Amino acid sequence: MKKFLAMLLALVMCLSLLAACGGPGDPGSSAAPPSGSAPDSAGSATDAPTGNDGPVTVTVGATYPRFVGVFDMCQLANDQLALPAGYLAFDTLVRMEVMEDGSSDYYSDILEELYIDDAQQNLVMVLKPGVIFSNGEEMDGYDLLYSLKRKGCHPRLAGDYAMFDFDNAAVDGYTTTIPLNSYRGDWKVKLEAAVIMNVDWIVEHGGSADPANAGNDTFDWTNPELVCGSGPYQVTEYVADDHVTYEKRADWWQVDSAADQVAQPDVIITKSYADSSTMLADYQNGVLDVVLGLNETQYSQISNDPSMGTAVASTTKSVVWLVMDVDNTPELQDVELRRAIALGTNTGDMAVVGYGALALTPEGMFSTATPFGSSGYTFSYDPAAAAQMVKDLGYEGLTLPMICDSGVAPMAEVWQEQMRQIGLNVDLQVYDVMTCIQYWLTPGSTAFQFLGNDNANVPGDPSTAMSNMWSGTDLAALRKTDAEWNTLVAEAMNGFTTEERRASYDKMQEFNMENVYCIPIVEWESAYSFGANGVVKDLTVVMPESCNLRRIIVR
Amino acid sequence: MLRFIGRRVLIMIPVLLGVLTIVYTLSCFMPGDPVRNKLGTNNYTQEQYDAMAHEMGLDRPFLVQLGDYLWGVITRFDLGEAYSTNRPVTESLGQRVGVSLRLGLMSLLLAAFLGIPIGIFSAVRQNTVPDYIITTLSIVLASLPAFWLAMEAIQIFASKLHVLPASGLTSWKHYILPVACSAMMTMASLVRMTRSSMLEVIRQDYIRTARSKGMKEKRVIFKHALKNALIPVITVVGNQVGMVVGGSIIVETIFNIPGMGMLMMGAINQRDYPLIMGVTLVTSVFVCVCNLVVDLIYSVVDPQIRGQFTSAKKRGKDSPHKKEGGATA
Repeated sequence: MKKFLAMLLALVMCLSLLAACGGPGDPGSSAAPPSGSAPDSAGSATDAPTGNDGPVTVTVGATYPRFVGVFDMCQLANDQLALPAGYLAFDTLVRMEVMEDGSSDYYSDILEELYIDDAQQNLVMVLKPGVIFSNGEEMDGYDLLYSLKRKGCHPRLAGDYAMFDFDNAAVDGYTTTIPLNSYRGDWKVKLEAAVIMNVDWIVEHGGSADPANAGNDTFDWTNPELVCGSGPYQVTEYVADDHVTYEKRADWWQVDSAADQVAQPDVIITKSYADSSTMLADYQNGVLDVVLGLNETQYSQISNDPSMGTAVASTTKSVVWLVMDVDNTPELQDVELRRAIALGTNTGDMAVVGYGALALTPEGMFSTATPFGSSGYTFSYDPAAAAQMVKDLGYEGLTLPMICDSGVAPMAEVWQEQMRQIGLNVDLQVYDVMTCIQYWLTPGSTAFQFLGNDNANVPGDPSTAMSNMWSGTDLAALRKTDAEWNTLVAEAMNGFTTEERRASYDKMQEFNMENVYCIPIVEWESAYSFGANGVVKDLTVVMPESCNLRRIIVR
Repeated sequence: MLRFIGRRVLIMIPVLLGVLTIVYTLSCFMPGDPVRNKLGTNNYTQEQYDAMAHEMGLDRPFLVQLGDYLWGVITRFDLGEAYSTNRPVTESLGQRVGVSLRLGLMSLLLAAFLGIPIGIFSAVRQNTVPDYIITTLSIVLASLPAFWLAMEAIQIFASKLHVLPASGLTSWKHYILPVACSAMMTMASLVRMTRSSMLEVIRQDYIRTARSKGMKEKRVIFKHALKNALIPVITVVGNQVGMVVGGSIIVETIFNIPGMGMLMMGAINQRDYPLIMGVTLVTSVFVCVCNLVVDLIYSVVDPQIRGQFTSAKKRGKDSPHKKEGGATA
């Protein structure tokens, strides 16, 4: 009897523990639950809009980026932003937009003017009157200044924002003028993710007026109730690592623009997923109305199945390069060997393996979908000639190391076999990204690596990628110390007009054709899907980190 | 008994310190730089790197870092701040430990409630068709990778049949697939462990004696055989309980459940040492406590083990030799 009671007691304790444990469904720091429907059991789609049947809810799933539960949008790194989170509740200084003619450019909802003067001395921002935060206060130049400074305090972005002399900035009515310490041609790219916050609200709730001190103040950046943005939605619920819920503001200052089909859903719920196949299953089940960040297999699957809605390849394109470590690998200092490697590389096969239906044929180092890309800068493929070149040069049987991450390992393996066929051995090692970076910092650790050209933004500015492939980078495996190359990089990054910069990028491509510093492998695009359950009629997502999640058009 | 518990609790302290030291050392020496991860790969100066390293405390000698961390844990239960969120580690742990506990305990209970009876049945029906089927299935289940099982379950029940959800934990339906997938492998090992343990016990002489006395088979199995057969099973279950709080990385990732497993996975990928240490500490404490509980349960189940906890004085008072006036055997 005693033993029975002991066992029973143990069972009761187990069940009590289970009942007492928190987790999803017990909000971390959530506010009132949303008025719309939330995703629940399988088979039940989110409420489809039927005119006056209640709030229209759209649920968006994405595998990237992840949301860390901190609503300090200016202090989150690119991989930590639930960008719907930021851009639904806040306005950014500029955002990427697809124009009616299909072209894309930077656009601002809150500024009348944004420019750098011809002398390249000052950044000038003229705010639109009547931009109202969710607490009713009007945005002013001090909010712009605070938010930019706060962005500049981010450890990753301090270098990007070093060009601005915030200490000598001036605010005059709706005009904010910030002197420049230096000029960069890609300055709009740097301002792109600047989210504008209400400095008075932050100070009122325990924050510091000095952005540099914000980490030491008492403002609770994890409390969704303290989110005060000028965007069309407000955060109403946050469940840690599960979802964030936004409800449309009735007092949004741009409400007249509803005719432009902005902010149609009453409630938007964003869910992040660690695994894309799970996200797709939820999409098929009707739990999600929109899915972002599809891989090539999922894109093909949805494209071939009308019941799964509409699959769309996004506007942004990115070119992946195979970069050679010319500076630290003695054999690769022979330009003829580099030419032989280029001649023996079948980029088509690699592209299919790496990106499938989302792969496009590159026309050069930079996508021609951007203002800086030109066509005609690719290498031909002739493995027989390449093998002969390798043999004549005396490099047959040469072994060179390559370290890459698991994301590009399939492409690397295909390329390894291609090199074997021309007489070169590639010693391929695959690691996680952090480990790879550690190796890439070490000179001579890898003779080759893939570089995703960070021009996956609408205006397609390759500056981010180029900042990894010049003398100033600390990634030794990518560093190029050639003086002529560095001059071209500087000219391209810092040109004042798009035409000037494009001309410089063309010169870089010509240099590369001659010297083969890198081989453009594939141009790829990201993809998204909507409409499987009939809620969302249309959606244009420029890239996953886009404000255009405000432009979800419902039926 | 109390002395035994006290001794075990005291032994836990150096064990935990040892675990933390080993994990901290391995974390610090594995490739990857959390300072560089925080700063990105470019656009910073050496001064900025040094300043960030100083802010994160990573510019100090390794032993100083380790000692400082251990001192903080012991004196203030301060697990530090996560590098990725700048939030206290305890906050992240608190949000997730309940999720993993719930999921893990449910799967363990399911595995035990199914696995043990099936193992008993298989042992009693040894060398019959049901036994062969159960043995084969348990080997297959034990061999199947967890991620494959989870993904197939999603494909079949969520994507194709639409009867169960694929992710999250917001209703009772959400628990079915992740709990079942987690339970399968544990159940397979419990079936096999129970079966082999029962087979060993039911061949003992006292079982034969019980049968020859005319006792019903059910009584023989459940009153005499099972108690002895359960001891190794309790060990296996106890070890599994201890690991539960650490979460299942694979199941949590595939079913998108924000538990300790996913937290640890993310922390390792980002070289977030404080988070790695926090998860390790919580898991280690739980494992130690569960091992202690398992040992105590042994004493309930097995009188021989219970006797070891009895004080010598009490053993002397109760000695049959003393009762016979001190005559020796």
